[in-house]
Amino acid sequence: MKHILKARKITFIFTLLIFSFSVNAQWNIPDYAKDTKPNVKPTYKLAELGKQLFIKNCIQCHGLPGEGKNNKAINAPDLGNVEYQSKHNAGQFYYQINEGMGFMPSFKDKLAKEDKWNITFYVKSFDENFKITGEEIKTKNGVIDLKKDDSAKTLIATASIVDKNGISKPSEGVEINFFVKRIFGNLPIGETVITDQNGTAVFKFPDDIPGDKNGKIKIIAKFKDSDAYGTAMKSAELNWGTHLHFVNPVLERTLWGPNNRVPIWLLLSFLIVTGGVWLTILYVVFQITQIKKAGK
Amino acid sequence: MKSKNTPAEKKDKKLTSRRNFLKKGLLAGAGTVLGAGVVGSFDAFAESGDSIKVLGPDGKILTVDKSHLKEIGARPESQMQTEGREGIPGRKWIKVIDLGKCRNARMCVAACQHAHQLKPEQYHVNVLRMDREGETAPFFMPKPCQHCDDPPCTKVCPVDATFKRQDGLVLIDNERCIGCRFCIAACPYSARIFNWTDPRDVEKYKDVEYDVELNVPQKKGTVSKCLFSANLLREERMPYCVTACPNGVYWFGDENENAVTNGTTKETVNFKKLLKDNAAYVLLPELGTQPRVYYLPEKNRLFPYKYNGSTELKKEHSS
Amino acid sequence: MSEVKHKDQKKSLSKIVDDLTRPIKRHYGFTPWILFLIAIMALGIWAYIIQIRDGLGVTAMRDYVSWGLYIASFIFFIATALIGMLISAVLGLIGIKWITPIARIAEMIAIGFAMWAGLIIIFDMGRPDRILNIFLHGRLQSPIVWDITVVTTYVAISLLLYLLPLIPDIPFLKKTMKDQPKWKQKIYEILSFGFKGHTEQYKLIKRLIRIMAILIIPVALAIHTVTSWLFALTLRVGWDSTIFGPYYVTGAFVTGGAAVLIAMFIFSRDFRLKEYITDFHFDKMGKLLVLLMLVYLYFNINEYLVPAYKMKTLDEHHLSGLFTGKFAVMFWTVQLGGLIIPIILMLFKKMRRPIPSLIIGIAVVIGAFFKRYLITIPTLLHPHLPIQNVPAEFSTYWPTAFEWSITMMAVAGAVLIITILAKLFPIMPIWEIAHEEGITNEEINQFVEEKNN
Repeated sequence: MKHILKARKITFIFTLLIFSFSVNAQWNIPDYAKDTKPNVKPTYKLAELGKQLFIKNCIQCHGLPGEGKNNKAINAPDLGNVEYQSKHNAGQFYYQINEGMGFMPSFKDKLAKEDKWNITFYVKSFDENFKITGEEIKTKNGVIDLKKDDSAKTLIATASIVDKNGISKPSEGVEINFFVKRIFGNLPIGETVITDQNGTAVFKFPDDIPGDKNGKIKIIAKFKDSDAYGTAMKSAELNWGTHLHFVNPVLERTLWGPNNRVPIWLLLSFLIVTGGVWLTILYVVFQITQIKKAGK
Repeated sequence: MKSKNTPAEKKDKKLTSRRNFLKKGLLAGAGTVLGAGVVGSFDAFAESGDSIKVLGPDGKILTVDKSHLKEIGARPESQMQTEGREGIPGRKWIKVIDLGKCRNARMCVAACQHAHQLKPEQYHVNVLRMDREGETAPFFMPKPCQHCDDPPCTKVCPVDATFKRQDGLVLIDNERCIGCRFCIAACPYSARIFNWTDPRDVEKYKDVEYDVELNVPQKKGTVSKCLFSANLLREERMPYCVTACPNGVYWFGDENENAVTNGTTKETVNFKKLLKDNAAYVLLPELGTQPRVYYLPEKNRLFPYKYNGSTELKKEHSS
Repeated sequence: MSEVKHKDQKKSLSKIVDDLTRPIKRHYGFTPWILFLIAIMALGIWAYIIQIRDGLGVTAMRDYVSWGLYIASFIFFIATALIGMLISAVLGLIGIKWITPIARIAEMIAIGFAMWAGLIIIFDMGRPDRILNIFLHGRLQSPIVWDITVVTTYVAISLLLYLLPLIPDIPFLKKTMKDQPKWKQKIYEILSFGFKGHTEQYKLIKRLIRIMAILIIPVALAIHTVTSWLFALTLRVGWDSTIFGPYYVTGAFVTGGAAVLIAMFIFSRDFRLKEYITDFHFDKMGKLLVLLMLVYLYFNINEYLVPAYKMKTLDEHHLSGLFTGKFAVMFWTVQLGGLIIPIILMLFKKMRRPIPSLIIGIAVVIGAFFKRYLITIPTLLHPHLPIQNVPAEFSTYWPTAFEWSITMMAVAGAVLIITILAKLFPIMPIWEIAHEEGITNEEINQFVEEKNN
């Protein structure tokens, strides 16, 4: 009971401090910020670049706008929130990226001016009153096909786009990235390849990718994240990885291992010393019983 | 703190909820069970049909074939113990901690304490304020168990209660620990704690089956320590602390795969390259313990060092 | 060499037997003394029950200072027990005669303290109910397993070294204790092992004593070396030392030597054996203690000066805590009052007389106890990584009443064993003293037979 109370107390203090911290440190956005303007017109293309930067720098705390995956514990708002959007125009948002506050770091020197504006465009694109020009990028259905060449350890990827009418045609200039499946995520490998006029690209598989004990490996080919082609991907099982030679360290005789893995030298020393001493003790005990005999 | 159920609490509910399960249309009960990834033997409602609806971990209602549930089946305690001692074949777990990103948010600490039935002053992972000699700048350093490859703690254990597994993890079996605390004295990283009194919420965890990979329920008079959330690793999920971090401090992965994944951004990178590019180091290398936790130096900091005392338990040690 | 000097006149066998068996027969302070010890132990048992019920949280130990008074007491007990080996084995084997009346006292101290040392380890365990795990799952790589092995062995050998020289005394007891309760006579009957005073029997017993006396030397060195390794085999500042083995062994001799001085005083006064434990014996024991303390001082200088000269960061924290910090008062009191001043004082003959010896002995023993405390606790307060985000109580340590009660129970328990042994058997070997007085085996046998008829 005492501990529960204590835990509650500490939690209380903790929450209180965070609370007071966030309350005390209010955003203090100067009026001029509202009128800060970018040098370029916002376009969907720039917003798309901003999205990539957003994923890299902001998603940890804010989550993607509108998805509600923001970190509430540190009061990081969901930037797609209507109320938030209505209270902050592009200039004010740009100011916030620049200056930072409390848990929000400052990106003044970390990002280029254009990048910061691109992020602003991306975030403001969730505001329906925000004017953004250019052609809205529509997702089309991309398809990847993979062929493997075991002798040369190369993969031939073919990219094609299926349009609205369901007609598939090879796509030139598509950037394709390759990944290997690892336990907690996909590891990018090698260089990005670009398809030629036939929609094909050749990918040389690196030699140093660890596979399982048979060298088996799962590989994934993906269009480079781009709304123009969607996120088509194709995976394949290969046995081109390096073979895993797994040695179970616990089977070795070590000082840190289990008792049945005690080092021989230790086992022998222990048995010889302890055995020798106890045999002597038993001998003496036995001799004590012989005292009577010695008296006869 | 959030009232999300810990796996152990969920498991606990499993026992009480079976009855409700039959009575109330069995949504919530099985959901918690599924969420924990440990599904009980569902003999109790064998006659309930070929497929049943359960509440999935993300809140969606799933229709699951009953036989499938049976297949997953709860590992009986003896099996949990054997598997837990053996470890996961072919793996070599590795953690990389980027000190440039840590700003003492302590989400890792909270998640860990929540999952492992720890009191606020009990740490499997602790975030320390480090201040080296001279004019060097102070920084925050999360300190979990280093899961050494030459562990001084398992060396001294008289009963094989703390042990190293083939996948590199150092675990503690609190059903065998005799409470001599030699491992605490032997650990140069102060990574081990002891249950001096009844653990937190002892009543609530009373009937929970012991899982050596989670070390829950904690037991009075035994040692406890960070275990890289071995129960999650078995389900191919990253440890509690790693995914709880809001700042991308933790990378976790398998050295055999030469890849680590960031718990926050879920980005996966080449492990050796990450170490090389960032001049990674290990703690107290001179002691020859060969840690499995690497640190990236506190350069290019995302946040300035700012200690506001908000996480301090009052009257902390000063010298 | 000097064994004859102190004897003014020869004592008759009947006087020796009478003097040494008298305390066994009647001893007026005995019952209150036993009750006193049992009262202390009862308090300790109560404290231990609470500790079992509520966990080790009733002690002042926490995650950083995870070993405390119990472990310090454990080293102290092992240390005290070591004197049995030095006196009855080493000095006995090289033929020093003045130890004859002291040897059994030293052996009694060894038995009492070694047995309770084993129990203290159990008091320190978080899960004493799982003690059998050590046998079911024991790891030979663990110094604790070595320690348990060697403590058990030492207790066994000490018991034999106590028992063997006792056997030839049993005939005296059997004859003089006719008026004593039946159970006592039964014990004497069993322990006589059919000893009749034959020359062959004397020869056999002397041979067995010799074997045990040789065997106990490596075992006793091992017991304390392994105990020191519980510390020295860790990567902790202040423990990570190569001289810990000999440092502990010499420290143990000092502790045990002082304990023997105290016991000599109490037994010679309380059992009215001043004629047997004379000023001469105090003088000799005092000289021996000075020698042991000088060796121990030498190891102390090595242990503290060498790291203090280099002052590695952690050593500096640790040593400044001892020299000038929060442990300074205890440290200097122990070093001066428990070692340096006793050395200086005991260089003077006057200070080696019984009463000064007693006072110095007590000072040395108390100093030795707190020295163990100073070896155990400050190191734990200086881990490699800072102690942070924990309550203040985690970074200090002073034992609670529970710990003191349980420790005092161990002390009382050890004293109780010594008391019981002293109440059952003569505290000096009658036959050896008789031999030293020039009484032959034939005379002894004749005496025993005579009384019998």
